[in-house]
Amino acid sequence: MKKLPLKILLYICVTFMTLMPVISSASSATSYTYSMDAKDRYIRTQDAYLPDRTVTSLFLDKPEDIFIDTEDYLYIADTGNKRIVKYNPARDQIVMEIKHELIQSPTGVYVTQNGDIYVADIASSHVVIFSKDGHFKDAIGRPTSPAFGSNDFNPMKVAVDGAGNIYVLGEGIYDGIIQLARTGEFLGFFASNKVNLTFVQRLQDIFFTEEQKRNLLGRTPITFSNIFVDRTGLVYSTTTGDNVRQAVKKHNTAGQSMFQDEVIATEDLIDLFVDDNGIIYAVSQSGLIFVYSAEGEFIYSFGAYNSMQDISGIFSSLSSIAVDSKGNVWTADNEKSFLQSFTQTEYAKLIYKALNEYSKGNYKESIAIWEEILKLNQMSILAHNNIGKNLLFEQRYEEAMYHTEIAGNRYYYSQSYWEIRNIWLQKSLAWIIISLVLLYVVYKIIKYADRKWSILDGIRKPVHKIYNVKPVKDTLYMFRFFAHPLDSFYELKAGNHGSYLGATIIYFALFVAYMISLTSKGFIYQTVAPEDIDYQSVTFGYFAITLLFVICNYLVTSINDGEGKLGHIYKLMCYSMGPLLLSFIITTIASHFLTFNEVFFLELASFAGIVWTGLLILLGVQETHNYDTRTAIKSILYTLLFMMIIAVMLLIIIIMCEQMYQFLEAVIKEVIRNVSS
Amino acid sequence: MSKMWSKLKDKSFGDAFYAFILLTPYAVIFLLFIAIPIAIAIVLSLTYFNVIEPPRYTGLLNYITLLTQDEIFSRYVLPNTFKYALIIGPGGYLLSFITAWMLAQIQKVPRTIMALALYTPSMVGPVFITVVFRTLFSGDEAGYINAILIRLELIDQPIQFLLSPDYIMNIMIFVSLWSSMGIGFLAMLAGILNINEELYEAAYVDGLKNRFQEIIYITVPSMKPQMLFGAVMAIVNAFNTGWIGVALSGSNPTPGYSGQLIVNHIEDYGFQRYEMGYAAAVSVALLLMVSVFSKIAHKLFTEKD
Repeated sequence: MKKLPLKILLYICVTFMTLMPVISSASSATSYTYSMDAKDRYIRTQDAYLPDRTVTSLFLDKPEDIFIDTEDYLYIADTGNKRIVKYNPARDQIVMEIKHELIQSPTGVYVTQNGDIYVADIASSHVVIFSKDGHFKDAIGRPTSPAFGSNDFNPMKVAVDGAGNIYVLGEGIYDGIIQLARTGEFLGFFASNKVNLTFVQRLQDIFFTEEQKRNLLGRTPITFSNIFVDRTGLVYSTTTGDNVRQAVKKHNTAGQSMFQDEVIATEDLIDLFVDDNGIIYAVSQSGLIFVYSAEGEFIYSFGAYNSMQDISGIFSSLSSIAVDSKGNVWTADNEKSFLQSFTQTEYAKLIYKALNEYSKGNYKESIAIWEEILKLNQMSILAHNNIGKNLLFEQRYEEAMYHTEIAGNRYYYSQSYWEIRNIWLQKSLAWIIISLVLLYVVYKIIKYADRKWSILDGIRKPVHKIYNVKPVKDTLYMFRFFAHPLDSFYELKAGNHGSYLGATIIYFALFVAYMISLTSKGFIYQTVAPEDIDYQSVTFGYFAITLLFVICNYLVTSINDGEGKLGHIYKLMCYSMGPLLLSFIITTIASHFLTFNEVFFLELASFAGIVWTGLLILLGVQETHNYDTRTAIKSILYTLLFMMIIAVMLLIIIIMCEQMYQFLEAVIKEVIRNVSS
Repeated sequence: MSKMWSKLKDKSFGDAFYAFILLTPYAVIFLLFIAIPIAIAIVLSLTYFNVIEPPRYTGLLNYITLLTQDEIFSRYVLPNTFKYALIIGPGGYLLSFITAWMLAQIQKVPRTIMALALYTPSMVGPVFITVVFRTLFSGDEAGYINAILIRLELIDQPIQFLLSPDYIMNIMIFVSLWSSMGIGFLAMLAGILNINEELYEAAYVDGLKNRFQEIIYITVPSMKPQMLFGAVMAIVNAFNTGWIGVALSGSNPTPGYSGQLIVNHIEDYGFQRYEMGYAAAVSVALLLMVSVFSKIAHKLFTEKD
């Protein structure tokens, strides 16, 4: 297990060295395709899409939105030219052009399954509906319902579900998506975004008067940037703004997002499209196209930004996306006013097929396809992750563990491991019980025999001999503190038991245990990979903090009638570490056998270790300096404060020394230059 | 008759006879309410019994099923029970002792009032808990906690505290800790108050310096029996208060099995699925667990002489 990171590293190197040049030279892609690796970093992968056609012949002017209907016709909201264009990409010709007095600045277009064309027009403040052949059907203006409030009605984007409910994104409306009935009657606001208040804003809320509050800048929730309704009537939305983790949402009927995990996106998502298989395509204004599975899992992203040069597949201001029934992606650029299409590569096709099989429940088929993908890209975390998921449902737990570990998916790894452990327990439970009973019986017999004929004396003597070696005895003295802290601290101070040697052994043993627990916990609990740990600062931190505590406590207590000397404090600190040492050892070992299901027991063990050690230190300070409880607590607080002061001072001194060094260096260099010239 | 009387007058026999007579009430009650039910449970646990048909002997099948087949038991019930017991047992015990000790430091009248107030939750039980905590944690805007959180704009939609697997366990633990000051707490309070004040004075003369030493060297050793009693009560309490989860969520099994304790599991099988034999096996397992932990407590509190 420990060798795995190394193996992965090797994989990375090999794939980089061998595959990369080949891909870039053989492909007609103009931008790289990125996916995620197990540590959530972007990593280059095979090209998923290749730029296909760049359409400039339609003389568009700032197209804000495009849509593709079931027959693969493209509808373009040609905003600058005040028209809707229906375009047949197969024949490269305009099929229909809709112009109407209410179409002044069309920014959103949506076509229902029966062919009705809905246009959101921000200038005329209407949602205009046309029939399939382009005849004006209806126009929906500002809702008159009092529930709509005093909001303006400036529709930017529009989407319609199967029941005819219209979802409108209104400019300047922060209450959510406007939901209208087929007749235009206002139904309510759907899925409002939350205002995320900062800490300062919360304080302002509590302490400011009404008048002061009125003078504050308006706090508005992050606004939606686009909406989409898929064939099954689910509403999707994109959001611009800081909260990237929820930039793409798949709403349930209550308006909340159904994605469990964070969404990987950028802050400037502008449009999205969902195909019939539930694959979600979202685009950012800066030219990136993100693709997600139906569960919101990031598959890959491609595309790029460049406003200076005209390269197909690269955008100056990406505005909209639509996907046809063959999976070709169409995009619109509203600055240079062109359409750009992309075709899927074999790689992308395989991924979609595998995802599709998974959602149908054909786990075996899905695994086969994912394995195909693995052959194309051994590094694909997505493939490992999905194979693991499929294997788990296929009840092939061992393999599922292998793949989820590579993918870094601890949740599914934990589930598969639980199953394996359960199976093992079921199989060997009888033996476990029998051997436990046997052990108990043997223990009793030996104990009895020992009492009668003292058969253990042969063993007891060497054990005693080892125990009586001074360092061993002094180290093991640590365990007496667990149950009898007060007596032990007294004896420690009096010098009857314990020694500097014992204390130092414990001190370093704790450091070793700490290091081991940092680096070799079970995969489920090893959240930071061993190669990513900053060992220097961990080591420095451990020794600096502990030794600083000893020194500061001595300085603080020596002016406060403390009886303890520097050595006493060092010993008291080391001997107090026993519970912590034990909890490190227990949690590290147990983390190899526990799943997320039992995370509580690890938390409890480390919590108990910390609290117990803390308590021991408190009691130790109290006993060693002969304080009462209140003074002991006070002295520990003073110590902590003093530690901080010293740390800050040291920092300042170090910085000043550095400055000094630089200054001297500069002076000497100057001297050398002057001399040599 | 007279022979019997003379026999009774025979001293050694008479002692045994009186002892027997005096023991009888206790023995009868113990047999009737404790020993026989346990024996019946053990016998039932070896059968398949669905209340309608007569029990059918199945050997150790129920135990084997419990240990190897019952995935809900091993995935949810066992970890939940241990988690709950590990917090409520020691936590409730420490809390009882600390509150008892603190109460012992104040005057009589406020002490009595406070003790009564602290003892009440464990006495009034389910009704009180249902009334108070279901209102507090109610899942709509009318619930106090939700109302406060919404007003502070920390959340924008009420949280279904009592129906959400993420919260129910923690709420159960909170409620149990709140109501853990039971009989054990009263015993400890009495124990602390019974300690001779002169002991403390003598100890301070001998060089006692602080309150902590006072507790460890005088208070605890002087009230060992009460400490042991409190510990056993705490253990029993930790394993047997499963009704809290059901009372809070209003359903058995609790949402997502997240608050499912071994007692709920027994009820689930016994009174909802009518698999009495299996339920009996689970309760025998519970009995074993409680007795093992009580043994440990005995060891801990009688070892120090």
